[in-house]
This record gives sequence, C-alpha cells and structure tokens, in this order.
Amino acid sequence: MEMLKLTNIVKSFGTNEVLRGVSLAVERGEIIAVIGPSGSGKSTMLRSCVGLERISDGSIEISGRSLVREGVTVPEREARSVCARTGMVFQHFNLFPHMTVRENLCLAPVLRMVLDKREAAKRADALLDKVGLADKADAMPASLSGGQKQRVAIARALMLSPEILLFDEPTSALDPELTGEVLAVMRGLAAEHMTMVIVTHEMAFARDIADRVLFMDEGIIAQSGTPDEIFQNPASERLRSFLRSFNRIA
Amino acid sequence: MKRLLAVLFSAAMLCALFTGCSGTGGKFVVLEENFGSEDYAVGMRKGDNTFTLAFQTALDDIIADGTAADISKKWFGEDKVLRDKPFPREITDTGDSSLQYIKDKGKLILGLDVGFDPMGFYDDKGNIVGFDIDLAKEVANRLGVELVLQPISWDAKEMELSGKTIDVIWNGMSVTDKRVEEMNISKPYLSNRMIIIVRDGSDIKTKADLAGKVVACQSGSSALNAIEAEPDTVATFKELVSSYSDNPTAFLDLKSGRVDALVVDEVVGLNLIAKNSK
Amino acid sequence: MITGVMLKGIGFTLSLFVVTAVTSIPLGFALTYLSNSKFRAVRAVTRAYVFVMRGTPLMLQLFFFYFGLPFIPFIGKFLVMDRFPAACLTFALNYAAYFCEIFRGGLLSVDKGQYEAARVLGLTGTQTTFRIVIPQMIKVVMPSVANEAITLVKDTALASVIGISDLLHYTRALVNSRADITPFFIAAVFYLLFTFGLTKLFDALEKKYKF
Repeated sequence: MEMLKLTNIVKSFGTNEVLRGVSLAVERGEIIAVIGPSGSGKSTMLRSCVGLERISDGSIEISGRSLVREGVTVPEREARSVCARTGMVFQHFNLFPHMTVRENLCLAPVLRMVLDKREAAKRADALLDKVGLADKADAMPASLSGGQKQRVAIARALMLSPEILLFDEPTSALDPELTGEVLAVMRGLAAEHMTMVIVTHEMAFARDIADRVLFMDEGIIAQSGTPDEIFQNPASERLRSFLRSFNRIA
Repeated sequence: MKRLLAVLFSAAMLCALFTGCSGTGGKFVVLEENFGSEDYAVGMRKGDNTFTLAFQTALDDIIADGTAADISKKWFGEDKVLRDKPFPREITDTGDSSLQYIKDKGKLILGLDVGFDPMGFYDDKGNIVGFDIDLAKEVANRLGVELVLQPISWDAKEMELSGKTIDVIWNGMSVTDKRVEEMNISKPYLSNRMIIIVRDGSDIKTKADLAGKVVACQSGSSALNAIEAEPDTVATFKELVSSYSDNPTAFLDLKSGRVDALVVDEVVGLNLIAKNSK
Repeated sequence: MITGVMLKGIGFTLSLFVVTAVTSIPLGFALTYLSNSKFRAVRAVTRAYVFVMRGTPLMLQLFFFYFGLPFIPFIGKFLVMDRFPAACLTFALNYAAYFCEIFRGGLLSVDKGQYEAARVLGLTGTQTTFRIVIPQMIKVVMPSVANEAITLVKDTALASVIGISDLLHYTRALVNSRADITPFFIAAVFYLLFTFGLTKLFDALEKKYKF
C-alpha cells in the first residue's frame, strides 16, 4: 500500500496555477528527493500533503485514507486524524521559541495524549541523543545554531512516530558548514528505512540517498527516475540546464 | 542610572514640597470696598415644587427658632443668616409627587463638591462637616428622613440632579440667573460679599488703587462674574488673571507676589487668610 | 493626619485599578479575536467599537455610562448603575479597546511558521492559541501593557467626575478647604509609589517571559 498517493493535484493562487496536475505514489520505506527551480511547485506540493495548502482539484491519500477527495478536503477533525502520522520539517525550523528543546518535543504528544509526560520526556531524551543533542534538552532554541535547531525540529517531528516524514528544503536556511550535521541525521533515518519526501537543493545528497528523484518544473513532474537516470541522463533541456546551474555553483 | 534619576526626582519633589508649604508667609488685609455681593441658596430639581416648599418650610423653621443662628455662630462667630428673603423664582404648589419620592426613599441625598471650608469640607478625620452640613442635618431631621452626603464633581451637578443621583445641591451655591432658570432654588440663606484681599503693607487701599495692578480670581467663579460686571474698573487693571482652577493656588500667587490682589468669596477668602496665619 | 484622610480615597483608586485591569485584559483579548474574525460584519463592528472608545475622551464616556444611559428611552430605567459599577464598566470597556489594539499588534508579530508547525504537530486551534501564540504575544506586548497599566493608575483620578471619592477627590477637597497644597504632593508620592510597584512587577514578568 502507498504511504502517500497524489492523484492529479491542482493548486492555483488566483489565476496563477502552481500545481498543474501532479500525481505521485510513495511506497513504504521509499525515499523521494524532489528537485527543481524555485517556483516550480515543490514546496506547495509538500505543504498540500499536510493540509497547509488547500488544493483546488485532485486527490490526496495518506496510508490509504483520504485527505482530499476530488478537490474536496475532508472535514477538519478527520483531516487532523489523517495527518496524525505525518511529520514535517520546515526550512526555517519553526521551533517554539518560548519553550526549551525538551518542551518543544513533548508538547504535541502530551497535548494529543499520545504519551504521558514521563514517557514523552523519556522519548524526547532518547531522540535528542539520536540527533546528537542530548546535552541541549534544557536549552532555549535561541541559544542553538541553525544546524542544531534543525536537528531539534527533526527530533520533534519524530516524537509522534510518523510513518512518513516530509522535508521542505531542510538545509536551505543553513550556513554551508552546518548542512552536514543535518544531512547526517537524515542519512541515519534513511538507514532505518523511514519513508521520506525531501525537497532539496543538495544535489549530491539527493543523488546519494534517494531511491527516486523527481524533477518538478512549472507545476508538473517533468521527469522522475532513479538518481542515475536523472543525473546521468537528463531527458530535457530544462533539466540539463537546471543541473548545469548547480554544477557551476558547486 | 535609573536609581540616580529616581533619587534626583524625589529630591526635586521634596524641594517643591517645602517651597509650597513655606512661601514668603506674611499677613493679608481685606479692603473695605468690594465687588458687590451674592446670595447662597440650595438647588433642587426643577419642577420638584412640593418638595421645594416642604424643604423651605423646614429651613424657615430652623431660622425662626434660632437653630440656624447657633450654627452660624459656631462656624462664623456671628449670626450671618439671611431672613425673609423671597424665592428667586416663585414656587407654586403643583401637588407633584416629589416630596413623596423623598419620603418613600427615606433619604435626602445632598450633593456637594467637598472642599469648601467652612460650608462643607473634610475634617481631620475625613468626615464631611461644615455650616451647610449642620443646617442640612437639621432640615433632614425635620423632614423625617436620613441625610446622605454624596461628594460630586461640581461640573456635573446639574446632571447629578436631573439624573436623581442627588436630591439637593447644597454647598455654598451662589444664586445666578442661569441656575434660577435651570433649577428650583430655595430662598437665599446667606449673603456673601466678593472681597478684595491684598498683602499687608500693600499700597492698595481702595478699589481705585487696583489701577495698574495684577488682579487674580478663580476661573469661572462668581468672583469673576462680579469683577466683569464692572468693566470700567477692569479696564484700569494691568492684568486680570482668571485662569486659576482653584482659589488656594490663586492665593499662593498673591502670597508669592506674582499678583497684587485676589478677588474671592468672603467665606472662602476669610478662610484662606485664617489658614495662612496658622 | 491629612494623609489619614487621603488614605480613605486610596481604596477606591486601588479597587478601580484592580477591577479594570482584571476585566479589560481578557476583554481586550476577546476583542482582538473578534477583530480578526472570518466575518466581515464582526470585524467592522469591532473596529468601530475600538475607534469610538479610543476616539472619545474617557471623561465623556464616564458621563455617558453614568448619567447618559438612564435617559435612553424604554431601556434606560434598566441601565441605572451605581457610581462605582459605572466607573468600573466604563474603564473596562475603554481600556479593553486599547488592549485590543496592543494585542492585535502582538498577534501580528507571531510568525506564520509557528501556526504551521503547530498544525503539523496536530495541535487544535485552542491549543495553538493558548500554548503557542499567547505566550509569544505576551513577551511582545508586555512593555505596552505595562505602559497602559501605569496610565490606568493615573486615569483612575478621572472617576471623581462621577462622584467617586478617590484619592484625587480627597486631595482636591483638602487643598481647597485647607488652602494648602501639601495634599497634592502626598498624592503625587502615592501615585509614584503605586507606579513604582507596578514597574517592579512588570520587570519581574518581563524576566519571566523572556526567551
């Protein structure tokens, strides 16, 4: 069964169509990297999967349950339940600045009564250890570096034992020397066969980690395939020039 | 820095406090001449004729049997109570329910702008006392109702009265044409001259000596009305300062020499002088 | 001795302050949410309310609620209030309008990403408001709220226009009858002490909500 299934989704802001019919099926344990120029609809697609954007048409299913049916989003309560096992990591981390690291992790599971306070604290400490921040449990987010913040954000997403993790440009807001620590954590998750959809500009990382790479351009998936297919044999001039622009920088 | 500022500020306040209290001191004299006189009376709701007449009967009794004279001697040292004055505006018995309203309530609510020594003011224990208050207690007694003293803002007295939040205004209120028009007014019970106060040793001996001098009075006061009623005299002044919100501050300026004369109600003025000599 | 008399007025000053602070802050919050309502009519009414309450003098509002309401045809007789309740109501309604604006600014300062993170973590709207938004907003609005609180201390003096015997009423009565301005300075010292205490309180609160 697909963990995530998008069928022909369309999203428009006014007259501007950002997504023009995107279909995608993600299998359990699969790692998808989404690349493409900015404004191609990558983030919008990802955000639609957790209900942060309302799509105009098409369907979205998560673990076999509908979030959007033919352009109609299910009622709020049901949407919440459908998205319950979906984790999301943002470009700008979006940690809660008024809470310690541990409180950031424990808030949702405790409020949603998934875990009691003790269990949550225990799990938080274990996850912080996993992302290499065991000593920062009582720190405030403001005292952390960007890379540390993003690792906390990943740990926070993991607190709810998600079946699928979505990453929206997780390293784009980081100084280059800090991306490594975040990518290392994501590699660790990949090794545990976590299902992940990663919107990224880190081509080497995408090539290295992904089972499948999607190239999005102007609101559609222009090409999809294994990393080798995408990076060795770019089918379109658009993809070739996109990849060239990265090689020039890199 | 903050602490330093706080200390400096407190020091400045203390200095101001002492200058405010001590001043140049000195004595004051009241000129023989004055700016005429006006009458004090009690204000009631317009149209409350039955109550006004019953009230007046009680007050007349108090004046006739000598009680009022005793109260006057207590506060002024002499009997200053007016007798046999007519109503400023004739009050006819219309048989309205206003007296019944007060009797049913069992209370007579007296509105006053406390702070008019010796008419109605706070004593050292914070009780409202004064000439008007003693008189009012007697009136309430004779009407068989309880007297309730309600401090009000003088600016809102007409609204207090018409909104029935008070029943009478009794606080050394001068009878003016406007008030006679807007309220029922009792017969005047006290006469009050608009006296001229100068510093002792001042070269001002008569009203004519005010020429070329700075004269002060409270803004919007009946003293101001009285002065302005004599435009020829005003024309000789160097300046008429009528922006004081209360008489004590005007008196303070007389004390410090910023102004040369103060025109004020006799009742207030004598009290100011008495308080100053303490 | 004079101070003893003046102390009688402090009770009203303090209780008016406390009642207003305790009621106008939650009311301000409520207005903030109404001013962000989905419904245009609700937003418009809230905006109009804030405009009127901030755009007219507090003294006029006191007159209106105490003297004016009973004169409204038909319902007026049910709107007769005693002096103190009328003052409390007026102050609460007036300050709520100011707090509404302060909180609205505070709300705008909370990053959109915070709502998104809360949503993705499955928090409900209420949980997001109380656990995520308000704590962050408090930090932002604290200095303005402290400012309003200090203004309120001094504004309580206005209540004397509807015959509330507050500190300033006694002060002015004493100044007038004693021909001595010492009560003004005693009152100033009291207001300063009150303000000083508030400043300390808000300093402590600001520390508590620092992050």
